[in-house]
Amino acid sequence: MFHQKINASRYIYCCIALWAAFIPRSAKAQDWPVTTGLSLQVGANMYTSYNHASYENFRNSYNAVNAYRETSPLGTLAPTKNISYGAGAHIGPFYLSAMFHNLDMSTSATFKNGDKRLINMRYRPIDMNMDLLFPLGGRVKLGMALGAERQRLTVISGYQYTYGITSYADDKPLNGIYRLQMDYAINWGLRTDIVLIKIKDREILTLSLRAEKVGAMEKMMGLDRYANPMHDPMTYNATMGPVSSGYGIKFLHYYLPEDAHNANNDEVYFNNLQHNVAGIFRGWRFSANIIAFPLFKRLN
Amino acid sequence: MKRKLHHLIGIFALALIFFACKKEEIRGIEKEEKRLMGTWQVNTYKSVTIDTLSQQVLQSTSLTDVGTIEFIPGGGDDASTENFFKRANFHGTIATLQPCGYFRSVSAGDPINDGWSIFWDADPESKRLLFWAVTGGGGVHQITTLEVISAGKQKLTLVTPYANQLNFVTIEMSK
Repeated sequence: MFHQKINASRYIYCCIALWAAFIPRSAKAQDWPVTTGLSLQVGANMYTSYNHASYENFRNSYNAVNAYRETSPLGTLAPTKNISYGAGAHIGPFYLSAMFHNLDMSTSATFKNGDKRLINMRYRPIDMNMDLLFPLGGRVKLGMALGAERQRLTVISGYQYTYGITSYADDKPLNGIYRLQMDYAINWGLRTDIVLIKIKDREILTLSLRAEKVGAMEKMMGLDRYANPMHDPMTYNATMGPVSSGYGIKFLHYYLPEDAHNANNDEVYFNNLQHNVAGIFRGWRFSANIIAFPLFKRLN
Repeated sequence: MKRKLHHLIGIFALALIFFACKKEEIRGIEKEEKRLMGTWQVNTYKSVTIDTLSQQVLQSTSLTDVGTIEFIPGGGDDASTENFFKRANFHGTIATLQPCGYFRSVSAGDPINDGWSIFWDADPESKRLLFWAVTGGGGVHQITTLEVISAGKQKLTLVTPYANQLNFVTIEMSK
């Protein structure tokens, strides 16, 4: 199963890489300065209206099940600002870059006895961007931003006892660490570059502004997000395998039930018979990046 | 020149692809297994039982230097060998205490000289440790919460709920 995923993802990215490498040969580029180079970039991101629908379903059901004992309910995971960094190359109007982002979000529910349910969502996407930029005049370029993203989304669900111990083990249902399996997303939007420092024909430093819809094609492609729910990599890869016990011990938990009413239904954790938490993050990301070009050359 | 640039971009992109696509969780498990391998001295063992209604401590036990836990790698492709799976050998008093004591109580695992041997699996997040064994009727497991304090120090916690009681077992180990 893992090998299949590796091969499939490599195949997709190889196609994209070959396209990016060879398409520029056919570009008619005499009308504007055709340049090439390598770049390093760092930037700040701001996320708005982010949505993880499956987590929201989990959160609502969790609060419904535990309303009688909660003093503060489980909250939304509000994405905040974060830093990204990466590197890229361009030739003519085609800009290829890889960007890394780090974003941690956390929330908790507090119970009357002082215990807490802790939820941490870790979002560490790797973006492969293939943008198309054309000069608008002066030092400004405008174009389309298109990217493929591996979302690398992890939900860490723990339980903090009043006694002071925090557990991620199976002493409480819903505990565990769950990772997105099919974590590919397509992003698209607009990009504007403003050249800040230029010496003769050589661009040294550029400010790049991006507005992109993350996970833009999930609905369009009609994918069934529940076919590949987030799974717990430790139990899922355990050599023990899917073994139940004759001693009344619970099944190993592979998944996180989307409906918290199923918290004590081992079949849901184990066999994915009902919906488990799944799916990619979707929403708008606005970013401002400073791009430096240590290697830059004009070709015409 | 253009061709070279095209190839350069292609190679650059392929290098990024390789980095982006390597199966992260398998890499994480391998790294964690490497960290755990070897013999850990069990410096302290603490068991506390509390009443969940009154939050009163009903029973508390604290022991020091109660033996060792030896994490051994799996034996490779030969499924016929008894060390095919990764083994955790509990030596000394710790073999009679939780979580190993649980496996002895259900006759799971194998007796070894002055101890007990069970299997284990690593968590790529270094937050848990899975112990398991096979019995005549199937398999049994215990998941413990792991806290890595430093490169040579870690803490295992096992929480066992009873009717109105909670038992917390904490084991501190060092290499």
